[in-house]
Amino acid sequence: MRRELSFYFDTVLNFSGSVTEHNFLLRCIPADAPEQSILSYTLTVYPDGAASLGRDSFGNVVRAGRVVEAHDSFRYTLQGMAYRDDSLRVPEEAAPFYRYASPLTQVTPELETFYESVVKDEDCGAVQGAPGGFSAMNALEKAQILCAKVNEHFTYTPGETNVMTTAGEAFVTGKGVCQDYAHVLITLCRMAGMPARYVSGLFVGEGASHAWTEIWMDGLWYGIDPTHNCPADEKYLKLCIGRDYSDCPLERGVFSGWAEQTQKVFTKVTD
Amino acid sequence: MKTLLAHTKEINEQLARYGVKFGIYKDGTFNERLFPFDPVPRQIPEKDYEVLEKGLIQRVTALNKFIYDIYHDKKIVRDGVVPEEFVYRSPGYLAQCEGITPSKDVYSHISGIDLVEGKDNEWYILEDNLRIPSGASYPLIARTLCRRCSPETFKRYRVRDNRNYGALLKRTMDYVNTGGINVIFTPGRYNAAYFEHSYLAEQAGAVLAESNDLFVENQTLYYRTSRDPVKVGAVYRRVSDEYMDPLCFEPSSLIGIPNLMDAYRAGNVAVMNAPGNGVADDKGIYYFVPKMVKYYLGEDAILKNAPTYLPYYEEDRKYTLDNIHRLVIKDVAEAGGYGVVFGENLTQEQREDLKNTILNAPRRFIAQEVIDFKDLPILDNGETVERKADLRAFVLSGENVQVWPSGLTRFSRNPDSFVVNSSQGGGFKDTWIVCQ
Repeated sequence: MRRELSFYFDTVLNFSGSVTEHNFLLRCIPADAPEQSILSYTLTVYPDGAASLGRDSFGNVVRAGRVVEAHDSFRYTLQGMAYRDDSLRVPEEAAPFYRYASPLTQVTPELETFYESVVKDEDCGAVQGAPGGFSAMNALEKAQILCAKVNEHFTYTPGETNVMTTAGEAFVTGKGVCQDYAHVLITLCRMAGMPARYVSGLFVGEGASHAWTEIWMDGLWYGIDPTHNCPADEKYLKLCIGRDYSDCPLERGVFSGWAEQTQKVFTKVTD
Repeated sequence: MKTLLAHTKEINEQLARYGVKFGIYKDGTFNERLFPFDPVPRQIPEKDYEVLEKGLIQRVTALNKFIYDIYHDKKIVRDGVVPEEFVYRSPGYLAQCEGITPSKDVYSHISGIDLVEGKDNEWYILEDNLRIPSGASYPLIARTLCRRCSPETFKRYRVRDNRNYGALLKRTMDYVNTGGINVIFTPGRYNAAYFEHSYLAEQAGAVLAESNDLFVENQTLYYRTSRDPVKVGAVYRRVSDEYMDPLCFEPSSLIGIPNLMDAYRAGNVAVMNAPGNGVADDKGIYYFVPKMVKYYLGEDAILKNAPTYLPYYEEDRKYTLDNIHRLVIKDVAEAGGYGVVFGENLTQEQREDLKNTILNAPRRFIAQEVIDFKDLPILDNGETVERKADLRAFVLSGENVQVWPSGLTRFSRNPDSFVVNSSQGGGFKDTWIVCQ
């Protein structure tokens, strides 16, 4: 169902001391696509230096910049309007690298055992009303089963994991945030033979940025949100994609100076 | 030749003064040691060299086309010549390089191709080194010192001059340069090959720079000077892919240049060798190089691979397991002579373990026949002894693909060892292309 979304995404980085020679790369500008048409957007970056726009190998809009002068905070704010309508998706090929393990989505023995148990579970056929069990399902149905299992396995727990945590590590503790849910689901979907990728974005409501999974079937990408165990539909706005988080952080920067960094994020999406 | 050999000690002293050293990591610590020079040159008759030259040009041309194909249309995979998973599971394949077209389509500007000469007088390719192969500076500086110590030797023997390496390198950089200066980008003086970086910069008339000397602004790479920054048009980087740009690859890298990849992608700087080209020098991909030559050039490969088996294929797996006692098994993820196991040196129990490891992860290994390669004479405390040796040939891809008429000959110190990699100890020789 078509929705008009108004989005606001604000991030402030505070440094405990002053930093210089700050080079950064932002991936927060949503790419325009038939199913997600960006009607307007503004991005303000402060402080800002020489800026440039480009595209990375995953198709994300990348916005590079360099601030030479000393500063002790860094803020970027994105706001705009978008139309979302998944019925307008255009068939495309999935890049082959979406079928293979990436740095944060390596298969571990624990994930393998888990996957085997899901596949063997006779109930999953009954749940879907599909005789023949898991192997007879199409990719999207399989992904939905796996999504439910991942959602059930995890207890949403902020602070237990960080941006470097792998799918395998998060899985073992059973605690994590949306990023970890997404990584585990990606790993399992790839084990099931389907292309899967990581999405960073926003969804209707207020709070922090979100992450979910997309799987590919018959030429189309389908969004699926393991944190909420539901489809990532028109209430979701995609900011960037990659094989896993490490390909597409919304912001990455390096600077000179010895400073602790704290981050405050606020997002608001309304339809 | 006698006068040359009489100067062994002096030449080695000079090499030490220049800082011709090799760094090795062992048990987690970094040790630097001298790279001993043996003055008895490896001599290759010009007639043989012509065959080598043709074969190397052909091989590197095909490898360049392969890398281009992998990061663009992937025809060779679609056509089933190279199995997809050998590409996408290769640690050298970088998804971050998909769709990037480097200046003049060159991916492997400086290739170091390792060969051995068998007792059957055939040359065999051992491996292709396309990322950041080192070693050209050693025979280059050794030749200069030898000529100085014993000019008469070089009057008697008609040896192809190899002192043009710097000029060749400069031409290679100039060809892809997008406008601006040429820079050799080094991780710094603690790197094992720092001597080489500084020597090559001097020889090629390029600026030697570390990460702090360089920055990217507006998708353009600049070199800092005491006045205005200067634009860089070509950067010969001796920093490995994963540390090259902390905003694209390993975020913790302190030796990289932030947003270098952004400038490279925009086509504003040539990065040599091109990031991601390691997909073609993977030990698993090696098996397919003769097929690439056929596929892209429609020719038969002039130079042979060592007979290689891929346990990935059922037939090869069976052969490997049955003949493990006489094969050499290589772990495709390791480099520098690590992860190489000779079946004959293993106990029965170790062989069984290795077989199981191969069965569990067949994609991870290749198996090769042990080539009985020619021994070369070396001087050991004034006495001539025979040792195993290989040859690293340097192939430069610019407007034309050219082979440097010399090369690095490395030999093992240990009479029983077949491993001649410099990270594993050993010394080097000059390589002479001799006109009859």
